[in-house]
Amino acid sequence: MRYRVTHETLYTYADPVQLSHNLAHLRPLAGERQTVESFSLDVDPEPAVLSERVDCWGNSSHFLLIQESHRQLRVVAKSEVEVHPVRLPDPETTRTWESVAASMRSRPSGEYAMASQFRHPSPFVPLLPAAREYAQASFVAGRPLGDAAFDLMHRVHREFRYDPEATSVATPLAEIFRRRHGVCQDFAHAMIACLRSMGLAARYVSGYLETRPPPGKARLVGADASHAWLQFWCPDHGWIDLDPTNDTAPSERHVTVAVGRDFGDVTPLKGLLLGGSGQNVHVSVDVEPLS
Amino acid sequence: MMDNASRSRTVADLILATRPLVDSWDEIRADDNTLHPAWERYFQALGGMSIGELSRRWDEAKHVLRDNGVSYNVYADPRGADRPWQLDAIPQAMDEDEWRNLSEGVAQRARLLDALLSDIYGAQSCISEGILPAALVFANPGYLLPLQGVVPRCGQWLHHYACELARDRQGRWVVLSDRTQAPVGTGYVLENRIVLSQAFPEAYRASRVRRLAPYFMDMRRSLQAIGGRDNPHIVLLTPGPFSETYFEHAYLARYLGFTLAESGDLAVRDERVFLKTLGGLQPVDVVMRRLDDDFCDPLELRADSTLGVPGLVQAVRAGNVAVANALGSGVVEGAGLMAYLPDLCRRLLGEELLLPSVDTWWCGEEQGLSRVLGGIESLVVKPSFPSLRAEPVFGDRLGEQGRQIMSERIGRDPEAWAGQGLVSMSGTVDWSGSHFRPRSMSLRVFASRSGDGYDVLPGGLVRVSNEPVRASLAIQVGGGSKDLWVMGREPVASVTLLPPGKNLDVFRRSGIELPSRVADNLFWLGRYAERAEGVARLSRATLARLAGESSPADGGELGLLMTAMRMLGILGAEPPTGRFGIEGAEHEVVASIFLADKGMGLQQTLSALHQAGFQVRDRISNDTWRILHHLGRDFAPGRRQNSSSLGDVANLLDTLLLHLSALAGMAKENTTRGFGWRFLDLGRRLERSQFTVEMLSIVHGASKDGRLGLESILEVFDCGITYRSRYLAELQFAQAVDLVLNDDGNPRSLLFQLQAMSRHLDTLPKLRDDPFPRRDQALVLQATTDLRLIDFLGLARDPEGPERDRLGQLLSRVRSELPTISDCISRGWLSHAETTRQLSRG
Repeated sequence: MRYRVTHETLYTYADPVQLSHNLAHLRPLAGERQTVESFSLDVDPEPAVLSERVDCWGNSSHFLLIQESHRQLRVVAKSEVEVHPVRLPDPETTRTWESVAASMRSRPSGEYAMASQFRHPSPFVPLLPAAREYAQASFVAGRPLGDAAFDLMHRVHREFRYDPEATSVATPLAEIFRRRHGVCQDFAHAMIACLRSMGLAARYVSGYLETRPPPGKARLVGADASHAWLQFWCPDHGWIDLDPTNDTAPSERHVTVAVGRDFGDVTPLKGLLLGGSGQNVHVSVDVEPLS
Repeated sequence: MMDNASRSRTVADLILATRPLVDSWDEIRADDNTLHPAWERYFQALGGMSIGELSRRWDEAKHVLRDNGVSYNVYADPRGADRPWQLDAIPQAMDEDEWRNLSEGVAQRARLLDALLSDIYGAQSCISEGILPAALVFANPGYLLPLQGVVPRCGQWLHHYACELARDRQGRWVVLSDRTQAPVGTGYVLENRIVLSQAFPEAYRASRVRRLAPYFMDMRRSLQAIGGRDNPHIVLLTPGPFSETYFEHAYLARYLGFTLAESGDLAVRDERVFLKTLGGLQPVDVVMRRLDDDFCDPLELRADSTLGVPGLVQAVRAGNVAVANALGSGVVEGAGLMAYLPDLCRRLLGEELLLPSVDTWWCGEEQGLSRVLGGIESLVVKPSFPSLRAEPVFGDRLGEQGRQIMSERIGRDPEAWAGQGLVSMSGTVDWSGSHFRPRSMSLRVFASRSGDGYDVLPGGLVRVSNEPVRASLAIQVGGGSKDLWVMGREPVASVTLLPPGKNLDVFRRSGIELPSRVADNLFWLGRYAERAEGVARLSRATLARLAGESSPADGGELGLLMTAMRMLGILGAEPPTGRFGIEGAEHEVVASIFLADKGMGLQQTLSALHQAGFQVRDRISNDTWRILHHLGRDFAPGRRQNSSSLGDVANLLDTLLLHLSALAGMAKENTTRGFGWRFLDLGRRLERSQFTVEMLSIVHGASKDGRLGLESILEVFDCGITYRSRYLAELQFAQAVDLVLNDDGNPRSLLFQLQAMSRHLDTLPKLRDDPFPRRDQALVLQATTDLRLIDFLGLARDPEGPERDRLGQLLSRVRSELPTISDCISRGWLSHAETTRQLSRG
């Protein structure tokens, strides 16, 4: 599938901002899963510095510095992306989750060592006994990793309530587990915490969902903003995507922007300001299928 | 107390008579009871010095330490006070040959950790080859992801390194911990050396002690080498005066000639780092940081850091600034890593590790975990990563239940823990002031980058403790320190601090490169010094009248002075209930001098004065600092004797005024007339103006003929003699007011202050490009003109006439405008305290 994505963020401030340092993760990730055909980033007011770099996981990030006084900041990212279909392994044939966890402990080497960096707690995903308890029902002894992970996704989808009003970026994960509700970001963090508590590697994916479904297909939840899901690492197959918010293994309707340990690594836009009290933010995302 | 017989015994005899620690390596004697060579030479160098002599000299030296303000701030100290630095009179002697071996090992370790950093933030081959357990990097909060793949200037990660060493029973040095963030201690080593060599110059010279200065000169050269241009601008980044080792930051900045900067002094623009100065933004090439790296940039590192410089990581990435040590270098300083250093040394350097670490087992591997859980009582358990900030736990101190709890803690997250063997540390002695005590010791050694390798400081920080077995002695934990004397066989070459060869052909004057924060603190230093003087003079005049008059309610001079003290906030707005009459007044005034809870009392003012001085410790001379340090010591909380008479209190105030005059004298006679001095003096003039108009306003409204309070005013303003020599004894309102307000030859007059302020304001860097006076200049000009236009002859003829009203209006106008002038100055040149806020995430 091909899409045109428009992601617009508009900040307004009651008091003028003299200086604003920002970090953006907005350019979709190019790789086997998708081809990025075009990308543009428009920032108003004009930044004094706009530089782009690629981090160790292949994500692109923009550093932007606005040095002129402003009361409004508009960042518009436009991209055209072709998403390729994913071939999933048969979950029943993957290795047992215990053997995968064991191979990443102690002194892993090669790709095990590199994947293992996503098995540790991270700022938004601390080590939680509640996560471990929750995960254990899916991770029974000797179960193939893929099978257990899909089962966990089904459970999270079934047992956690999607509620955009219930949480914010600042809601701690422990509370998400206690109250069992949240948004796509919380679902992703919760499931990552479960996988990591079992000694498995899991990472956070920031991206988009198709907002205008083809005729006859249902519109997916979370389509009007940026979306989030996760990946777990499975030897012989690599990173496998799971979207617990929609109880699906993402394929052609998910556009990937960036991967990281958690939301904090790949926040679409964050910054530090001088001045600018009374801020307001408005985000809109449009994902339009192209023929 | 010592009797005469012990005083005459020699230091050497008494040290040898001190019983050595059992079961430890003896630093002083070999097994056959002969002295180790270095100690033999040290005792020779002492030349039979007696205990009495040692004691006398050391008491003097301790004053020097205190007066130099050597201190270690302790966060947890309820008094918020600096703890004076503890140094022992007896150095730790080490032979040069032994030192050479040790320092080679230290230098190799620094090279190894630098190579390891290069690998971790680069190819990560040690991880993918399975030599280094991946979790020691990826689970380590010291691993800073945003720096992955970023190569620092000149490919150098580690510029400064330190390790904590102890000597085990067999006399073998082992490393207890590595420091790769911003190793603390070199400033204390320097200060220890200066104090000890001054107290015992003969012994120091005769011991042929290796000099410390060349190390610092090399350190400066290698930082200059990564500056990217000739004569690069280097700043030393400190967390600020509340940091526990601020003394050292200020000391090193001064010693090395770097600008001491807090993060608020720095700003990033266009991917470059700048220093905010009076003259605007000045580019910075190298940041020597004393701030843990995760705090350095709230944009990309810890978002909750209020100490960082937003955009610093990006400036590093762009190659526009070098940070020493490189951001991210903390990843290699954990206990967990120490178990793997021998293998890493072979892999990365192709060498055997020369200097062993204390036996270490990392619980992230099965083997290490079972060793630790199997024998926790003989181990110290530490967090694998120092940033986890958990205290080490000594297994031998735990009971059955404690061991159980610790084992469970480890079991929950084994990768976060490491166990290390307990080292029975070597034994030495320290001087208690009356006798020598056996002590166990550890040694901190420092290395600094020099080309492809490292220089090791020939000396170190020895820490002594009365516990024989401790694998970690943090500076915070206390205990004393010693200077390490590395003794050579050859005479020591004299050292020049100047780089050889190059003749500098540049001349400079103090200019606009003064950081705004420093100017701000100098401004307030001036204000508080003057305020302290005003309060002290007013209090002294009040005390004098308390001794003589009957009651403040009588409407005499005493009542007026107490009103003034109320108006200035020195006393409460209303007299306290309970005690009345002269006794109540006495109680109230004395309390205002000694109690810290009085609004604008002497205590508050003195403590604000100290604070302002402390903030610019690196900018004021040692002499000035000494005065500041002494000043007000008599008024420290708890110093007041209940029995002190009014006369005693007045004497204390006399001494305080003497010290304040010394401070003013230092500013006048020993300070270069740069912008720093101008702000200091502006603060003083502004404060004195304020005090003058407040006092005059009170006298102005106190009595019909205006004579009430004149005597006190002349005393408080130190103008009594002048007045009497001019007008004999007759107190006249107009003449007294002329002397205190309008006589430009009187350095305490308002006109004198206004003229001085006007000169300063005209000299400050321009804020705009037009020829018109700024608001602050206009207000001073207006006040000067109004004052000069007062008809003093008319006032003299009719002290109750219309000219008296004009004077009253002038006083109240100036009184309300002085704060505006202060605000204009702050806004124009000193505002630096803008804080950043987080953008809500979108």
